[in-house]
This record gives sequence, C-alpha cells and structure tokens, in this order.
Amino acid sequence: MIEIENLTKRYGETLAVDGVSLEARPGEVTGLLGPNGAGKSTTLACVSGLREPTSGRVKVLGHDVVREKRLALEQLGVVPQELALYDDLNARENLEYWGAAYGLRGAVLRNRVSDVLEQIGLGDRSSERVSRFSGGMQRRLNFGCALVHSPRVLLLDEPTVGVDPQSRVRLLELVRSLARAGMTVLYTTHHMQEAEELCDRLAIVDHGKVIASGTQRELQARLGGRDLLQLGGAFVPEAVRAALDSLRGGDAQGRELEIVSLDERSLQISLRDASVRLAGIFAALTRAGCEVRETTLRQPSLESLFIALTGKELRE
Amino acid sequence: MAVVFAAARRDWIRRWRDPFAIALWIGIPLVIGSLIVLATGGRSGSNPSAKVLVAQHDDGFLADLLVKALTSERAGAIDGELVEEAAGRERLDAGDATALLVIPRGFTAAVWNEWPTTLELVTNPSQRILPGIVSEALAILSEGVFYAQRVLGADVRSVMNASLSEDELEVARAAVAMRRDMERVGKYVFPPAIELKSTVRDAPKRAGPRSLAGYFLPAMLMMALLFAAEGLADDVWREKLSGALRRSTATPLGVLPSLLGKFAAGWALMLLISLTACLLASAAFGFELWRALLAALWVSTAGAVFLALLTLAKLFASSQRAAGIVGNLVLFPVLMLGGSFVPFAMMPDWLVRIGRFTPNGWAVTQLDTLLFGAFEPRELALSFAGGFAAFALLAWCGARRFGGAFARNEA
Repeated sequence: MIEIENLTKRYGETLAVDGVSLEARPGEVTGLLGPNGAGKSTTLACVSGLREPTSGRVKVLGHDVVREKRLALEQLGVVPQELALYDDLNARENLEYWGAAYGLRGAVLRNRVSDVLEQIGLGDRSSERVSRFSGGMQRRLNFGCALVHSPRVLLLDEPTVGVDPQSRVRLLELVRSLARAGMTVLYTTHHMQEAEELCDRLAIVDHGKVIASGTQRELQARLGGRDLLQLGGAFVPEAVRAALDSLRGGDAQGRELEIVSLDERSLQISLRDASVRLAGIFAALTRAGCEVRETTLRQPSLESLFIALTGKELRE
Repeated sequence: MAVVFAAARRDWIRRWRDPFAIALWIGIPLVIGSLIVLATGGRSGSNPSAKVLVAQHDDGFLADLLVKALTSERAGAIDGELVEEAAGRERLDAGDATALLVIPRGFTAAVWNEWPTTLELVTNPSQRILPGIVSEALAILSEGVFYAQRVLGADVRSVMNASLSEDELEVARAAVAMRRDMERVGKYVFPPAIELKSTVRDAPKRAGPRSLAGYFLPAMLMMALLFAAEGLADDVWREKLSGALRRSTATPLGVLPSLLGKFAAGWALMLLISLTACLLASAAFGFELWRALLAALWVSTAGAVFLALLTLAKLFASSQRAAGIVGNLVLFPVLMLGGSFVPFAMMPDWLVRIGRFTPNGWAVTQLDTLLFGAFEPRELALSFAGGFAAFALLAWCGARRFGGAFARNEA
C-alpha cells in the first residue's frame, strides 16, 4: 500500500506538487493521470526516494520513505519513464545486477531472472546485448528490471512511451496480472485510453494538485452523465453568457448546462442530452452575434471529465 | 559489500565489452614511449654505447694502456674492441661501429720522448652523438697521457736508457724518483673522490643499471593508467544518461555501491594492466619479481586515486561533453608536469622540482624508486596510506555528488 498525505514539493519558486493526497491499495492499479508537467513524475520521485518532499508524508507498506527509506525501498519496484538499462550488458546481466542491488544472490537470483525473462517475453534473447534490442524489447526489459526482486509495490512512470502496440499490450497485460496477484501498482500516464483500460482507481492531477480521484465509475458520475460540447468560431463572451443563461430558463434541465471555458475563439459547455439541445444552442448563439464553425460532441468519459475539470485537453 | 561486488562485476563485464578502449589506454603510452626510445637511440638492452674499434700497431706500454682503457668494462659509454685495421675500416664502412681508432707504430716511444705523433680517429658519419662521446673520451685520455708524460717522462726515459746500458743502479735511482713524483702529484692526479664510500644505511639492494627504456617505463605506465582513469571516469555520465543512475537511487542502498563498484572494477582493470606491464618489464630489465608485484600494486592504487579525482571533477561538469573537456584539462597538465610525457631524469631541475609536487609526479617518483631504486618499506607504507586516504576522501566527495544533485539532474 502507498499512502501519500498532503505531499508538497517545491523547487525554488516553483511549486511542482501542491498538497497531493492519495492512496494506492494492494490488488489495484491506481492511475495518476495528468498532462505533462502536472507533477506526476515528481510525485513518483518522492515516493521512490529520489527526491525528498518539501512537506507532507509518503509511506510504502507503512514505512516512511524519508525516515525508513531502506525498508520502504526494499519492497518497491520502479519503472522509470526513461530507459534505465546498461546497453552494453545483455538482458540476463542487467536483470542479475538489479536483482543483486536488492539483495538477491545465487540460485534464487538466477531462478528469479529466468522467471522474469519469461514474463517479459525475452527468454530466448537473454544473452543478447541490450543495444541490439528494439525499442519495445528495451521497454520490456526496463519493466522486468523492476520486477526481479519480487516487489510488493510497483511504480510505473509512463512505461509505454514509445512502445510499439504489441509490446504495449503485453506490458499492460503484465501490469494487470501483477495487480491481480496482489501487488500495489501506482501508474502514471497522460494517455486517457490507457488509464481507462488499466486503472481501478484514478487521481487526476493538474498544476501539482489532485483535482479529482476515485474509481472510474465514481469519476464519471461526477459528470452526472453530461456530455461535453466543444465549439470553435467567433464568440462575444458577454453575449454568449447571456444567451446560455436564457437557455437555462430555471428548469431542471437548464441547471445542468455549464460553461467550462469561454474565449473569443472557443466555447466548451458541459450539458446533459446535448444532441437534442444542439439546435437551440446554435440558434441562441447566432442570435447573440456569434459564429460557429466547428462542433465536437463528447460522450461522458475521463477525457470529458478532465476537460470539464481543467478546461483543457490532455497534451501529448 | 555484496552489492559493491555485483556493481564491480557489472562494470568489469562492461569494460571488456569495449576492448578497443582498453587497447587504446595501453596503446597510446606504448606508442609514445616506443617512439621516444627509438628517437633517442632505439636500444632497449642497455644504455646507448659507442662501439670503438681499435687498431693497435704499437705494442708499447702507453698503447696497451689506451687499449685497456677503451676495452675495459669500466669504459662506461664506450665499448672498445681490438681489431685489425683493415677489418676495422670495413666494419666502419658497414656502419657496424661508431669509430675506428688507429694507434700508430712507435706511439709509446714518441710520447715518452716528446716526438710528434698522431692518433687517427675515423668516425661513423651516420651517427651524430656517439662519435662526439668517443672524441671527448679520447681527448681526456690523451690529456692523461700527456700529463703522465710530463710528470714521469724524464724518469721513464732514464729507465729506458738505463735498460739499454744495463746499469741497475741507474734503474733503481729512476724508480725511486718516479715513486717520489707519483706521491707528489698523486693527490691531484688521483683525487680521493674516486674512493667512493657508500653512506646508504643497511646497504639496501638496488636494481641493476637502467636503460633508456627503463627511464621511460614508470612514466609510460603511469600515463597508461591516467588515460585509463580518464576513460573510466566518463562512466558516471554514461550511467546518468542511460537512466540507470536514477534507478539506482531507488534501490535500498542507493547509489554508493554502484560508485564503489565502478572504482573497484577500475582498480582491478588498472591492476591487470600494471601487473602485465611490470611482469614484462621485470623480464626485460631483470629486476626482482617482488619489485614488479609491489610496483603493480602501487601504480594501480595511484591510478585508483586518479580515477576518483577525475570522477569527482567530471561530476561537477554541466554535460558529458564538458566532462570530457574537464578531464583533459586535469589530465594533460599533470601528464606534462608530472614526468609522464618526459621522465624526470630528462627534465630540467627547476621543472622536476615543480613536477614532483603533482600527484602523478609523486606517484611516478615512488614507482621509479620501487622499480629501480632503494626499497624503503616505511616510505612505501606511508605512500600507500597516503594513497588510500586520498582515495577515501575523493570517493566520499564523489559519492555525495553522485547520489545528490548529479543523480537528480540538478548538475
């Protein structure tokens, strides 16, 4: 289990993580979802002991990562965002070294290395130098290095970046199976689809803060089943607000129409039953002197929730 | 400790996956050393010596003396050989000697009687320095003969005359006069400096005489290890850029075992290089095996100190490229000053005084003493202790930087 309580990390004037609190439970994949620069990797760096929190507390299996760093890290496997391999060693040698770094020795180490090589699908390439591996194979080995000491907690920092579809499917399957086996998995990503496929729980992070967290169902419920309508064109903000206020009209349906973001070129509205209300919205905007050139209607999803919460799309 | 061993094994394997780099570290000093030795004579067995062929046409006392002086084992840089004049000229034409000295018939009599006489010295035109040495040596010998003639000439002449008249009383008188003359001039002609008294305590055993290659050996060996240390020190940047350093920070023991493993693997590699070099040198120069083993241990320890120093310097660089520049900035001045490019024995005294204060200058001096000088166990023990202390300090500073700002990309 990972417990993060009110974690703050500051670099000079920059507040990278701002009071993040979350919990990752055994047997579940907990996703940390957010755009690049949102503070996901810094949060993971604090959990893995690479950086010390400015304030707050992080515990791994009950051990404080600052005060009981060694005990906390012994049970932790880390898959960093960048490859972390010795490319002049072969796959087996890499795994043997990282296993030894966690205290494995002799036959136990050798057997464990063989198991992991099979798990990541590199059993038949174990004596090949890593520099000759494809990007996907290197990613799988990068993943395997974090598993060799059989950790009870696994941190994955965007492990599928630059991975071919086949390797990606294999990696995600492996993460699922590890979680099913009782491992605590904390997984950061900015891929909405990946988070939806994989994660049991999610924390959506932006500007160093957790802006929403819970199971996927709980999060989608926060949208109240509302769609997200994205419009592009030319808008007069004051006139748009007045026009949409008139549409609400005080009834129950009207109260479920909310402006997510608005400027002179774009408008995002969160609303229920958008498809049947589109004609009325267009008419109101036209009357308000606005011109609509592009229309996108999104069904309730993590992405629409993210946009509803932050007013922006996830950046690749 | 087991993790340090695992890290050392890891880096040991990695080093041998790049044999070209190892060959380069050893090869550069070997090539430089060989070129220097070849350029200064190209002899590896002993000091460069001048082969002087002597054609003796006079069987008098002074001619014999001259021949003995040139063919004696004590002739130093001159290796004399008695030959027939014609054969000597042929050998000189074939480039087989530095010079041919022709002692003419009647040389001894001419000298004693102060008649004009000439020693003919024919030199090899393809050699430049050695003929000069021969010419200088003969000038000194001629002066010696001249002064002998001035001091003893009259007495010798009377002996020679007496011998002709068979007057024993006259011979005895001349002998007494000669002895008196010898005693009178003895203190000038045979100065007491010749009677060298050793003041070295316990008369420690020294290695045999050294050749030119022997002078270069310590310098070249140290240079090889400095190149190796420079290359090995780069590995902290490779580790960082590969991402492995960040992963190491998340291991229970952190990055320290990884760094110590690097140092251990580096030291083992340098020990292997220096052991090979010292054992080969032992066979080539004939010094004892224990000297070779101790020298290898010493020079690899000094190399490990340099590895720690260069690693620390590179940990403060802003990029891998900058680290390369920093390494060269440290390496080349100490190589130049510290007797690694040019041995101290061939440097001017004022530069030697500076050079001995550089870390590698100190290491080379100790190595030179271990291989060719008087063995002082206490001094060696102190040197090792100093080396270990310097290594420990540098490694401690390096570990703090390696696991700190450097690992966190704050460098």
